[in-house]
Amino acid sequence: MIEKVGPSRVIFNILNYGFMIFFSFICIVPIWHVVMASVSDPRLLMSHAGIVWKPLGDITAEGYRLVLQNKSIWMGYGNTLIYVIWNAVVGSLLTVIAGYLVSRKDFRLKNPLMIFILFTMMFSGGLIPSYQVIRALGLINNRWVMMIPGLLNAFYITMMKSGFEQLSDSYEESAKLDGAGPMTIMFRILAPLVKANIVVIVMFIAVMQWNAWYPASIYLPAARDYWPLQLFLREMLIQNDTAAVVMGSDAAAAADFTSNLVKYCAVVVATAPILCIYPFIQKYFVTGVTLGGVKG
Amino acid sequence: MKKVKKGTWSHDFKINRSLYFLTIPIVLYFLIFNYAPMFGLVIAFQNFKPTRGILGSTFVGFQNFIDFFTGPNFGMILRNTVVINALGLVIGFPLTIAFALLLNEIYKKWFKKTVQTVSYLPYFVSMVVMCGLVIEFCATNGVITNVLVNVFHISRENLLQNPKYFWGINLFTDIWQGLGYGSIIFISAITSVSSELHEAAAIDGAGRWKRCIHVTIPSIMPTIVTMLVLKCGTMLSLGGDKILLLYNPSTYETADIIATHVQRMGIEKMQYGYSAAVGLFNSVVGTALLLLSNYASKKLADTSIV
Amino acid sequence: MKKKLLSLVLAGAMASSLFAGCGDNKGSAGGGTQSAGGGAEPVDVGADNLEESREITVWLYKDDYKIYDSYDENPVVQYLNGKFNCTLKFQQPAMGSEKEQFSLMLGTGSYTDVMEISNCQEGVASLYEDGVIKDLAPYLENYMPNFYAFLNAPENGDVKKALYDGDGHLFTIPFQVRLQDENRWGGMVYRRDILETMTGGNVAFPSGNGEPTTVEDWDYVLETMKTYFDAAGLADYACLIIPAQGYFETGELLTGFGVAGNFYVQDGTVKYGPVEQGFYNYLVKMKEWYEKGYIYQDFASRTNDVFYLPNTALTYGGSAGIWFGMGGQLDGAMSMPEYGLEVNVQALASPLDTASTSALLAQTGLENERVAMNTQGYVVADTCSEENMIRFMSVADYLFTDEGAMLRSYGLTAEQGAADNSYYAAAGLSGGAYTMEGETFTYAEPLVPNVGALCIDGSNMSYIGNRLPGLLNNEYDLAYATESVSRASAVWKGTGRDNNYPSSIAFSAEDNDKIASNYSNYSDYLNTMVPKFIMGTEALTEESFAAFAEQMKSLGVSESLELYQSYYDAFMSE
Repeated sequence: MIEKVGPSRVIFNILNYGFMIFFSFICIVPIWHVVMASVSDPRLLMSHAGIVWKPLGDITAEGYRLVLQNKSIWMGYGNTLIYVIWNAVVGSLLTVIAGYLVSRKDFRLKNPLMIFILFTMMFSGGLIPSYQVIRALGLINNRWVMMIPGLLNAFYITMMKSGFEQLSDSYEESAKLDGAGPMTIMFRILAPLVKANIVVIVMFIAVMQWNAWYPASIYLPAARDYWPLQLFLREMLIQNDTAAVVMGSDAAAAADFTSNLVKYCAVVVATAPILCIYPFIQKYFVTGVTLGGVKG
Repeated sequence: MKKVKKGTWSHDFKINRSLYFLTIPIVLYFLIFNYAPMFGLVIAFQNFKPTRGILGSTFVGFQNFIDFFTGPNFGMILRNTVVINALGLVIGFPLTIAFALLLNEIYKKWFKKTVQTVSYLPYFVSMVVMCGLVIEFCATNGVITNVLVNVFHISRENLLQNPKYFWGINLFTDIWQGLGYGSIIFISAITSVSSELHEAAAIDGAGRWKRCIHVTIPSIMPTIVTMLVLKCGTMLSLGGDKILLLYNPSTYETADIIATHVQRMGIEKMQYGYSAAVGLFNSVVGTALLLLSNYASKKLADTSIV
Repeated sequence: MKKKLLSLVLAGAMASSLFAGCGDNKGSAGGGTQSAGGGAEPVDVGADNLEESREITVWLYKDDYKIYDSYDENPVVQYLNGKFNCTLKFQQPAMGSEKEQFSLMLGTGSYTDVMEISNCQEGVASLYEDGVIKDLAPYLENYMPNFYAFLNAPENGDVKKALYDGDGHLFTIPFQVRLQDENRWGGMVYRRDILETMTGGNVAFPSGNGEPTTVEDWDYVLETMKTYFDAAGLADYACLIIPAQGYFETGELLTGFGVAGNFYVQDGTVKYGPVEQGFYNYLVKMKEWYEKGYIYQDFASRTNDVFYLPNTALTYGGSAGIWFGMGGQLDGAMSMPEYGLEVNVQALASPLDTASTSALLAQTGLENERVAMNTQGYVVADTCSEENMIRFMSVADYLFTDEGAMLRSYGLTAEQGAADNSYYAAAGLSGGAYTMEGETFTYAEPLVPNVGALCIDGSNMSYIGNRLPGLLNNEYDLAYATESVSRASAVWKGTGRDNNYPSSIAFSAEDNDKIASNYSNYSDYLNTMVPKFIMGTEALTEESFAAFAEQMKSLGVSESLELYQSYYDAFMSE
């Protein structure tokens, strides 16, 4: 498709590109700040105000050494990986099923089921009853507590549903005429067409699991071996805080100059992998979407 | 099939049997992990004490609700909740869509991809870290303050100590963090718009602007409406954690929302029953909003999530 | 800061504030066996059979022990396990979620045998009323003879009074009872070097004293500091750093104006600092200092901050004049010669408001308690078996002997098998943490203190038992303190940092509720108004302050004051 490019178009393009560059800059700056700070001289860092454009003083890997020498970090990485993969795979599978169910126009349970699911988005019983349910299921201090209760989420189901509903009914009808059952229709015919939605949901789940530490802190109190990475990192951040001047019942008095550095490094360690993996997901994501578009 | 009357449950069961079976695990999941714990809502009507449990705590009827409605800050909290959410809805949400549309207009593939990748970055920065940076940058001598003082000639002060800036700061950081990530779903919707439609429109002489208005936007309308309805429905139950990190007592008058109020009362001040009541109120209003916006979208755009 | 972090902890689950319980309520099971008004009749449930091994679960908050993760690994704990044929199994929640975990434990009824109550948000009295914990008083004589004797020694009357409630119950085995008053770990400090520089070494305060003592002295100090910082061309500096809420709840600065930061007792009357006239005088002064640019301009927004511990960027960067400091920062400890920063940090007492007649607190100082009962200590769950309870008592009792106190406070000796403990051996402490020759105490080389105190130093903490109940023998600790720390500590104590309302007064469950609910009603208002008064966004006049005080009283301060007073009167008349 070759098009005429008028003057208004040129102006628009300039503005558009300009805006995109500006916006990208704003997005990068704080992250740049954190990365540069994580290799800076900790003492200089403490007295520095404003954005750290380049490493202050001599570049140091001391913070990373402190963070990474901690064996639990590696254990946490392993656990997080398990939880992310499991939840992304099983969770998205169940979400597709649920989304499919509530998008069937000829299914009488459709609306009651949707309301049933949406209701959970609005109302929740709170921590203690949830804890008791989990305990009754024998999931306290059990690895599965990270792999079962977070599988389904009303929000993702709604997203899936809207994906299915955007498809023309003809796909399903023709498949039915060919004698395909609902499972075949759902996974073989419709799911590839809503690939984009699925990829987005997989990514949402993966990111959420990557960042999750709260359930572990509640349900895995005596099972450090099962803790996800974020909980260990969080403890590192808090540990440094407990030396804070204001709290100090014990006040490990000597201020630890490296503590700030450790925080920046912990942030980088916690964020870097997902940032590195993201471009690859995105690639897949883009091709998936294009395929769907061309075929449509 | 003829024996069973159309439109009845048994008829439906017959034709959709496998769907019913698939429903079972989904329903079980929500029953166990979401509905079973809901008996905990009872404490909204109790003077609840953890040591006594639900069965042992005394019932106080609607006292907790009355305390909230007649409390000195009820009006302020409600206003803040509405305003902060409305700003996100009226400004933040359209910007997300606009960003997706603008990005779609960029034809340099590598550039588009780079911008897209970069725009998600802020989302991966954890809330705590981001708020730490915001506090730093909004200080009396902070980077953002410097820019505002030099460009807009505001008086130099800590932006987070002045209630009048809070809404702006909160909105801006929301946009910064959520714009790229929030646009994913729209970008994915835009790319799935049939290229035949575009071609047909182009042949009819529609320019890109016209095609955007007449082809792209109508095609992604269902996605927009779904997201909008969800946003309306969930607006009361989200967003407390960030404000908790950014606000301080001198900005309570514009920053304190229902969610933060619940947190402060429930956790820091041990008013469990009270905070449960406020939370329940929040949920009820939220549900009403969800249903209302769903109804509206059904009427106006013929799309709904239920 | 901690509060905010805690809130953040909870932000993950929106409705996490909804607590509920299963009603594992033991009702009067614990209470029924006791006679209401009497002292404890000794109960004998049979001797502790040390032949039988016991596993005792203990709830304890986590700390940064540097060399191990779980307190199970603590060398002193391991020694005690061997000595008493038991396994102390510590259950420690992730740092940052302690309070929540404690509430969760209470709400679900799955108690450990023994619980440390620093993170409990309810009073011990109400825990007992609700049947959660046991009354230990009847068991003390038979099962904790050393502790019992300690309590009944005449010189320990203060501790005894603090531990027993009005009905003769005793709920907590204290976390630690100090033999001697400890050094303060922190208080206000100032950069004396700035004054030296500005006056060419002839520092003279308006009051004529050698250290800043009066408000006028502070005026002078702050003005000098501002001149210094301005001349140094620093963009971001603070002559005086105050907390985000606008005052120190622990009383620094405030005591010079004759009030404390919370509930306190003056001449037998309980008062609440923020509604007293002295607080107004304080606010007026702070407002003046804020306007003059002496007070840190960003103070009100510093409620939490991941990357910068409150203002360390300023203090360590050499751009703060007066702040809340610690023993380890005194003298030249914060100097950074490689960056051309030479500082001299000295302790500072609250500024005496000489214009006001009510400025008494700073001069008299406030009494100090050797044990804080309502806030720290070990309670025994009602669900704990009697065997486990008396075994734990045996262990704890040992820590109230002289030998046990040494073990708890200073760690293992060679005789106690230091060489057998892997952590000791790894640290080169096979000869024990210390040696005693006659009266001479020598700490082992690897553990020689560097900040003027032994036990509280982070790395040493791993080798001693300072999280266990028992006596704190701090005699040698104090002797080891550097001269400047001792001197600073004396200054800080004289200022009366603590509020002197006896912390051992236990409120009934019902009154505890009332006080908590009042607090939740007035604290938001208080925390909002004080920074605004100081920053000038709220007019500060006699009238507006009176209106503020009235509002505070009607929001519950009055009722709480009455409760505090009546409990105080009852406590004193015992």
